[in-house]
Formats: sequence, structure tokens, C-alpha cells
Amino acid sequence: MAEGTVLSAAALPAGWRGDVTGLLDNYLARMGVVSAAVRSRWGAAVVESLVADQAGIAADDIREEAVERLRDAIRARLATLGNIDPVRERREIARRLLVLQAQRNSELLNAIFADTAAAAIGTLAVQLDAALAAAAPCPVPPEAPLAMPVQVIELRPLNPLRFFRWPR
Amino acid sequence: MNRPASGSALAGGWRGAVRRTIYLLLVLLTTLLAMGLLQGAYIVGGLTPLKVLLLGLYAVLIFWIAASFWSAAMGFWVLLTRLDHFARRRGVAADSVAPLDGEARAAILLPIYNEDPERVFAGLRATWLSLQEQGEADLFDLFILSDTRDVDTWVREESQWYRLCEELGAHGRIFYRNRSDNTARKSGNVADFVRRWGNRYRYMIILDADSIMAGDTLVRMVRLMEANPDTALVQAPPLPVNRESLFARILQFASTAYGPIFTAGASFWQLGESNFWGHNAIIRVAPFAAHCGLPVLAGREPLGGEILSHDFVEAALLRRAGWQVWLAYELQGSYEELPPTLIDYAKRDRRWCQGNLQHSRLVYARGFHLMSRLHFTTGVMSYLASPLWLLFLLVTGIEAYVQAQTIPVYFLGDYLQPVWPVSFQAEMTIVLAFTLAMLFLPKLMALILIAINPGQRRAFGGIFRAFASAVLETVHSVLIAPVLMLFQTKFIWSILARRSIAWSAQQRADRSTGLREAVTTHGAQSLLGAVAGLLSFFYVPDYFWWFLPVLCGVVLAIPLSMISSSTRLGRAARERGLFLTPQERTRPEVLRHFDAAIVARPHPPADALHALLEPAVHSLHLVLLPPEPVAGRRHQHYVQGLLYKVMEDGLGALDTPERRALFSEPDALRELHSWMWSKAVNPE
Repeated sequence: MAEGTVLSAAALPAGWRGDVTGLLDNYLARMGVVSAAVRSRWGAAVVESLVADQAGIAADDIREEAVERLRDAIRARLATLGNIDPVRERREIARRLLVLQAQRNSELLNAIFADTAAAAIGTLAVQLDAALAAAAPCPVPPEAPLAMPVQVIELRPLNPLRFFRWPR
Repeated sequence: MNRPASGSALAGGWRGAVRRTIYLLLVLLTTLLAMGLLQGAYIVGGLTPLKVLLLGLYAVLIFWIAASFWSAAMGFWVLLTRLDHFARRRGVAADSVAPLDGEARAAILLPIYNEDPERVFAGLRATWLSLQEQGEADLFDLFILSDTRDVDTWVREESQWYRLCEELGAHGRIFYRNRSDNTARKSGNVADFVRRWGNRYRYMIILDADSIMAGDTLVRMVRLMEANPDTALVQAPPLPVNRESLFARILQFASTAYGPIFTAGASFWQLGESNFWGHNAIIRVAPFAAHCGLPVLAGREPLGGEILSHDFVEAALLRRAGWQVWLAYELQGSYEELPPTLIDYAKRDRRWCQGNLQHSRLVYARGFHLMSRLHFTTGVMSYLASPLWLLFLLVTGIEAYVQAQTIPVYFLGDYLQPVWPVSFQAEMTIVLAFTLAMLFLPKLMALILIAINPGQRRAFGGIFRAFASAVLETVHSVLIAPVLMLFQTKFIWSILARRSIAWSAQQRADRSTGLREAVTTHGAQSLLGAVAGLLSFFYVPDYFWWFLPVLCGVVLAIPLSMISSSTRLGRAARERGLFLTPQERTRPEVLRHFDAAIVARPHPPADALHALLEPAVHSLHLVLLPPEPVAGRRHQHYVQGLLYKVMEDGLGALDTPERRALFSEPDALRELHSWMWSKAVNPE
């Protein structure tokens, strides 16, 4: 991460909140979150957390930190739904994100982002599991190894005079 | 099952012995006859060392030509009479296997290396869709075994794989893996599959990046294997399709029209000791695993080191272990694509040349079947014939010069009658006619087969068009033969001089050859041809006229290469019904699937930047990366350095290995993903 000067909130460039909100909105839209209100809510939550921690964030890093925090929030949401560790099981998180970004799962993706109520977790988790079961990316099947020993090819000289060995 | 079952219906037995004896006798007799003709012209005046050398060279070359001729002649006879006992037995046995055993699972393997993903996946889609039309499609899985190093291509492959699985509902049936280390190239890639997943499948069907196979052919191949438990490999002869350039269309026509007699002939006498051509073949996995682990040959490259052309060696190893290897010439629905231009064709030859020359070390290796030794020799000779031909032309020119400089003596001693110099023009013409007949008669045989079959006649656009195409194809082959001779001679020279070989991906899409490329590639050849022509014209004018057909091709190499690369001319020829193939006239279902897939391929395709920026492509890449091993500190620092380099100077600052190292690190990619979004004003 690039080095930068730690600034107080007062020293942050004017309009940084709007800039960051726009960036996060763009990111969520690219992920497939349709509702502007939902995107705005997620963006606002990230901006709030940035404001709370602004003393420790360099001005140069504010945008990158914002994206990181948004992605952390998304990971946390998916980890809760899947009952998995958001840090240790990042591949699983990526798998869920991938499935959710498929066109056919657009509704589920939007529901997951829209409804953060605890009561909905159970239903959404079941739906996500079903989406994974229906078409989870499976790059390789479970291994079923087979030994493949290296063969011995005994070369003989190309010279035909040496090929026919003279009896001693 | 690592040992073949005994008592096969396809064991060669006395029939095999008779076929091979007849074949060998015919080849030997033809060689002797040709030698007799040439020797008749040379014997007068005594045999000089030059003449002995000429006779020796001619003997090797004519043996080679006779072997090809008689193989084609046998194929002609087989296709004419349909009296191939083994082909019929194969067919009957395969028909009896219905339905297929649920355990007869087959993996279709596609090893790729930096190929155009959109083309590769269009072929796969066509093959898979065609397979789904078969009742036994559930027995098949598909593996894309990528050895791709280029990161852009890697990311495109991943996107194409995911798209294919999504659109065809094939998650869990179509698999993709990119090998982190491409040890031993294609053979290592396939070996990696066998070692990791080999136990899941009874068979594997190996495709090439440009292969397309019909579903019923795939099922038929499994049936053949089920019916013949002592067979470890069945090769389906691939027909070239899909190219539009004039050069490729001429070759497509030649392969489609003449190819069947050569494959049928080879199968007729090679029987269960046939060869493996590297793709479009089905292999029994267990014996392959047990007997085809390739060693590294002792000594340095080019003839030592990793075995480059693995297919011949794998077939020989299977045969050494007692398994049969068949060329099932009767199988249809097996396709491949040709290089679009003469230059691309030569480049492909350069890659194959070193592998085939390496086989010269295996000819005498202990334990191989005599037929396997013959296959190795054939492979070597397919390239070595070029320098031998060049040497033959050179020595013939020198001999002609020597003859031209000899002052005839009309009166010997006290003998009053003059002794007139003897001309051997007639004998030499017979020798030449004999040689040309051996080269061109197979084409005539193939045309006869087309002419007597109404369906074939129609498929080739009518017999007159087929005949006209064959005449033009013959002119083309006469012109390019000396050019290829010079190319191959140069390749052999550079390989033996240990100049390195780049295993770059083959050019498969149609393209035209520009003037600069043509001059750079063929300039020296044309100059050589012009100098040789002038020398022979002034010093041995008689020889010049004999030499002219060879000179024409070489001198005209630049325009020939450029004109033949034209897709416009290729299409124009097709509109006039020239070089038509049955697959062009009536597209088989699987090729129609391919055409549709090519039209629907995405524009623009995903690339490395997409994997950094697009959340979906980024997630996909992370999902497909192999489990992360614990990286040492040194490596972590290296990756961190790459990360900073990208942040400072952009992705273009990294070379291919560096990009690959960076794109293999999930944590670094996650960091870059956020960083790139933070820098993007508008990621669009």
C-alpha cells in the first residue's frame, strides 16, 4: 500500500465522502446490486466506518480503504449466511460471490444485499445453498490417483557396427 | 488391468503375416526395379564414386516413395472391395456392445498451451453438444488441461470455461485446471491428469486444440474399446476442416480426397501395431498409466532430454507391453484444422521436426516391436528425406556437369569406325516417369474411388470439379515441395546445430502473408533457386530443363506464399466448386454447432485486467487457483515487489513469468483488486 500522510478529517479533501460513495456505488452496481437505495445504504455504512477511523487513514489511501471495507462487509455477510470463516475460507467466499453474480441468481444477490435482518438469514442461507448445489463452479473433481511409473527405455548406439557386438 | 486379455478376435495371426510379407515384397521389388532402370543408364562408362552416391541416394528415396505408394495401393484395394477382415470384425464387435457398461467412463482431455481460447472452446462446445445428442453422454466428462503461461490467455480460458459450464448446465461434468508448472509439456500435462484423476475413468479421449469430434464417433470409440479388451489405443483419422485460405483449402481437399486410401492402407498392413498421432484417439487409461510414463532420454538436446513427440513413443510402449494399437480408418466425425499459410505450415513442421529426429535414438532401443521401430524410422525419414533429396539434386547436377565437360572420343585406337556418344535421355525419362507415377498414382486411385461412388461424387462437387481440383492441387504440391524441402533441410541443420526451438502456440486462424513476411521467410530460398537456375542454365543446359520444376517452386516462393495465403482466393475457388470437400458441401451437425459457437463467441473477451477489475472475473480466478501452499518469506517479498511494480508502472511492466507469479497469488490479487478500483475514476 502506498505511503501517505495521516491527516485529520478536517484536512481530508473536500467532497471525499461523495467521491467514495460514488466509487462504492459503482462497485456494487458492477456486482449486480440493482437497487440504488440498497447500494447507498451499504456505501453509507462504509463511509461511517471511515469517519470513525479517519485518524488512522492516510488521505492517499481513503479510496482503497473504502473498497477494502466494502469487500470486508460483503465477505462478512456471506460468511454469516454460509456459517464460514470470512478470512480462512476466502475461496469459499469467492465461490459464493461468483455464483451470486450469475444472471440467474440476480434476485438472490439483491435479496442478500437488501435484507440484512437477522430473521432473513435462515431463508437466504437456504436459497444460497440451493444456488450453490444447482450450479456451483467445480473446476476439478475429487482426485482418484493412478500410479504412472516412469518407464525404462534402454537405448543402444546408433552405430550399427557397435549394435552388432562381436563375440569375444 | 495392465496386461491385455489373450485370444483376441483382432490378433493379426496369419493374415497379418501375409499382408506384411506381401507389402514388404512389393516395396522391395519396386525399389529394385527402379534401381535397375537407373543403373542401366549409369553402368556404361563405369561406376564412378559420384554415380555410386547417386544410386545410394536414389535407393533410399525410391524405397521411401514405394513404401508410401504400396500403402496407398493397398488402401485403394481395401476401400474398393471392402474386404478388410479386421475392419469388419471391429465393426461387428463394437455393434454388439449395447448398451455400454456404466463403468466404461471416459474422460475427454483437451491439453492446451497458449491457444486462442475462443476458438478452443467453440470446438469443445460443438463436441459436447454433439455428445449430448447421444444416449450414452453421461459416461463422458470433459477436462480442459491448461498449460497456458500467458496470463491474458489464462484468464480468458477461465471465463470461457465458466461460460460453457453455465450455458450448457455442465458444472461437475466439464472441468478446468491450469498447471502451475508445465513440466514435460503435453505428455507431462496428460500424465498429470492420469496421476490425479486416472482412476475415475476407464478411457481417455485426447483432443488437440483444434480438434472437433462428433458425439456418435466418441461413443463408437468407447464401444470399440469395450469390444476389444486387448486394445489399448484406437486412433481415429482426423479430416482437416474450417480453413478458408487457398493454401489450406487445397490441403483440405488433398487430405480429404486422398487421405482415406493412405489411412486404410496403413491400417491394412500395420494392424494392431499401428501408431498414435497424438490426438483424436481413445486410450485405455490403466495400461497407459502402467506403461507410458515417459523417461528423459540420456544426453543433451536436440536428441536427448525430454521426449518431445510423445505419441509415437507411447504407442510403442503400449505395444511393448503387449497391447494393441489400431488405426480405425472407418471412423468418421473426427476433425482438425490446418495451418492457414505455407509459412505457418513450415513453422508447425519446425516444431515436429525435432521430436521426430529424436526418435532416431529409439529405433534401436531394446524391447520395441519391429513395427514400432518402423514408425520411428518413418517419422525420421519424413524429415530426413528433404536433405537427401537436396543432396540428390546437387550430386545429379555435379554429375551432369562432369558429363558435359567430358570430350567425346569418336575413334578409339586403330579402330576405324567412329564410336558415337550414347544418350541416356530415354532411360532417364523412364526413371523419372516411374518415380512420378509412384508419386501421383495414389491421387488417381483416390479419384477413381470418388468417381465410382455417386455420393462421393456429389460431395466433392462432381467428378469434373474433383478432377480439376486434383490437377491444380498437383501443380500446387509440385511447386511447394521444393520449398518445404529447403525449409526442412534448414530445420534439420539448425536442430543438429543445437539452435533452440520455441514451443509457441500454433497459428490456427486464417490470416494473409504480407510482402515483408514473405520476403523475409522465402527471400534466401528464392535467391538460392535463381543462382542454381543460372548456373545450371549456363553450365549444364540439359540438366536445367530437368531441374526446372524444382526451380519454379523455389524461385516463385514469395508470390506463391502470398497468393496461396489469400482467403479471398480460397473463397472464390470454393464458389467455383474447386477444392470442395464433403464437409464444406454439407456441414455435419457437429461442425454446424461449431459455426454457431464461433459466431456467438464473446467480444471483447476477458483478459488479465478484467481479473483485476471485474468482480465476477476476479472471483472466478480466485476460485480456480489451486490451494495455496505456505509461501516462504523470500517468495512473499518477491510477490510484494511485483505488486509495487504494478502499482508504480502498470501491469505492462511485468514480463510473462512475473505476471504469472502475481496472478497465482490470491492475497496479492485481492489487494490489487481494491487498489485498482480505488484508482479508477470510472472502471468502464
